[in-house]
Amino acid sequence: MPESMIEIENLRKEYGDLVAVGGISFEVRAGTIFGLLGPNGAGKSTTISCISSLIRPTSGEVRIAGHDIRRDSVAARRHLGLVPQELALYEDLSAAENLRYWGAAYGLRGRQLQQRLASVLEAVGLADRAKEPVKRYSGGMKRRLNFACGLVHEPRVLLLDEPTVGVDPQSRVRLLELVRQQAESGTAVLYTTHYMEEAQGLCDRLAIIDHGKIVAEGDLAQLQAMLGEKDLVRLSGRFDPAVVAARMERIDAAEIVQLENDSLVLALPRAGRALPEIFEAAAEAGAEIRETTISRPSLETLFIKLTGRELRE
Amino acid sequence: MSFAWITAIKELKRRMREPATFLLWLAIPLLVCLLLGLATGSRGGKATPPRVHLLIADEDATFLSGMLVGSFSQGALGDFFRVENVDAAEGQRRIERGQASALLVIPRGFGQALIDRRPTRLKLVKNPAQRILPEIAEQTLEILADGAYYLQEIFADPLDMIRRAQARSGADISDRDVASVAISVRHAIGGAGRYLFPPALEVNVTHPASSSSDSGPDRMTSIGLLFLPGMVFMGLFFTSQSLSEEIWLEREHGTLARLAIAPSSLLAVLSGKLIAAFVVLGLLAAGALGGGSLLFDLPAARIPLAAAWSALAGTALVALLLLLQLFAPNARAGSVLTSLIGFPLLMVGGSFFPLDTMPSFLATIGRLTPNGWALTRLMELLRSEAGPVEILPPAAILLASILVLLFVAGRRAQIIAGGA
Repeated sequence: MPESMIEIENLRKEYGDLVAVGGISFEVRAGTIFGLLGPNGAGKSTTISCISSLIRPTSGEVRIAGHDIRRDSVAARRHLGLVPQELALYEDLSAAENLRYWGAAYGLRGRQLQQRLASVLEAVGLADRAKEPVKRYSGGMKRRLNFACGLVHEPRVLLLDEPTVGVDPQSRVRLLELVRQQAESGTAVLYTTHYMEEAQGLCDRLAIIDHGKIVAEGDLAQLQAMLGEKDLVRLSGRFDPAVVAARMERIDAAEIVQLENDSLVLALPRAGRALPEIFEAAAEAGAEIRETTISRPSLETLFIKLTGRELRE
Repeated sequence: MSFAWITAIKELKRRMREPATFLLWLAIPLLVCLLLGLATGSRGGKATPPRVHLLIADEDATFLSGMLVGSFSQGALGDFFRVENVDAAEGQRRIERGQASALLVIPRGFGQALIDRRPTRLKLVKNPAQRILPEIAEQTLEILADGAYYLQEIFADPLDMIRRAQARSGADISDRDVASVAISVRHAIGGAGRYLFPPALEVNVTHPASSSSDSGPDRMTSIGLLFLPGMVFMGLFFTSQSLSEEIWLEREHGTLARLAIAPSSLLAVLSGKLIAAFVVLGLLAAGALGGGSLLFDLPAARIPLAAAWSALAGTALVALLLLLQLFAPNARAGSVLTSLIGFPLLMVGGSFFPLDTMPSFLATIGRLTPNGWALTRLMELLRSEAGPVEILPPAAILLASILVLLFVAGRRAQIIAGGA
């Protein structure tokens, strides 16, 4: 089994009464991509900040390549590469100057730095425009350079905090390919996103995080098994929650995931066949239905089932 | 190469990519110097004070009227007056055209009236377009008129003898009369001699402490020394404030957070920023003081050390403002906070108003402010009252202050990077 490069045990971060991360544990092994999937404000970025030593956890343990991030901080950070959400670049410098600086920040000098610089520029497809000031780059190019700055020192652990936010489809494909290449070369990758498709297509293992807690963890197959073969039926309109709940519970194998005055989400197998019965039950409960959608089982439907919320809320 | 030096080089590269900003920083003190130079009439190099252009219409054309005309262009008065002889009508026309400061008309009979000890009237026409120079002409003429009155009193006897001799023999005065007048003059001088040689009143001329130096600075140098250091410090403050605000860009762009998780410490990063600030401020100070030396005739040899001192003081200021920015909740609050602290310090510390022109209690307070203290050292360097050896202890104090501020700023930056 590959070496465990990120080990998180009961990580907790509180800001006064607010619990941003509520005691989560997971590990990421070398050569694998671990996805942290959750909506905005779920605690993904706080987790990344704790792992990278940017903020001090309230409690819990974080080890990077066997080094405790608090007690052996410099050794731990030497193995870390971070690609933050924002474009952490000096826009008045060129791509080469940015990479040289970030490489130097991790102790690279001289020929070694020069070789890494050339290799990374080639990998992200910016070699031909390496001497241009970054401010002249397109958004996608800046994203790629932001990514390259996190890799220039060949980290054994790569933290990617929603690296594809606001990226055009072409650049996104290229970035995801680069992430795969890093994992294939033995790097442990922790990847946070709220894009379900990205997580499904990229990650070897996934954890779904909501309100600072991991609500599900496993590989894709394990997570899909948690959902079973149930489809999600979303009804929007006007409902009396108490009356509708009482009536819907009578439908065979139906599970109420979410119920509010204007929306109802049910999980049930072969939802298409059960639609007439659902409409009949809704009519009996005096509900007014304006829109109906059925979703096949996916991470998104699992997330809704587990949290009662949309992933992008 | 350490990461601090690498950061310093990176920062300097970034500054060089924005030459307009750099020139704007330099423009502040230079512009003020230039305005000051224009206001005081400096044209660069050896500055010369403005001269009174005096037109004189001598209608009397006697020995005594000639003496009056000559007195404006001889001795010390010659430095202040440019005398041109004209006739009265031409003089009047030129004054109306604004081509001179004043016109003095010496009427016919002026010399005889002096001999007869009768009142006489001199006519002075002033150029209304000028204020100070015609005033100088008028006051000088009043002094000369007073002098003539006292000469009349002292030499009353010889003058009476001349008048009587003229009455007796007309223009042909006999040798005997000339000899009598000479003896009478000799007696008059002998009588007044105990007051005149040496003078009973001794005028003791002293220079204010602020403008004294070994070589005795001329007027323009004094003005330069009075205003220029404060202007330089004002420029350094604005530049330092701008440099300290850079930390907000680092926070907003996420580069500070990225640096905070790298193995290199943020202390090294901030050190690099301060090294770069020292170079930038040194160049600005050298530019401003160099410009000032041309305008105010300051000795160029004093500029390098003065610029280095200014740069060190400016770097301490950057460290202080940087720390304030790191404690501010946002960029706008940071700007307000640094201005709130900086502007009163500039006002009291001698940048807006020279310390030497302030009431003594305020000047004492001003010299105790950090910038006032640094400004006083700069003035000492520019006046050659201090050299490399004398400036070492203050420089060590500044360096120690920078290190303390840097250490606290490094700790603070590490804390806020997590929330950036």
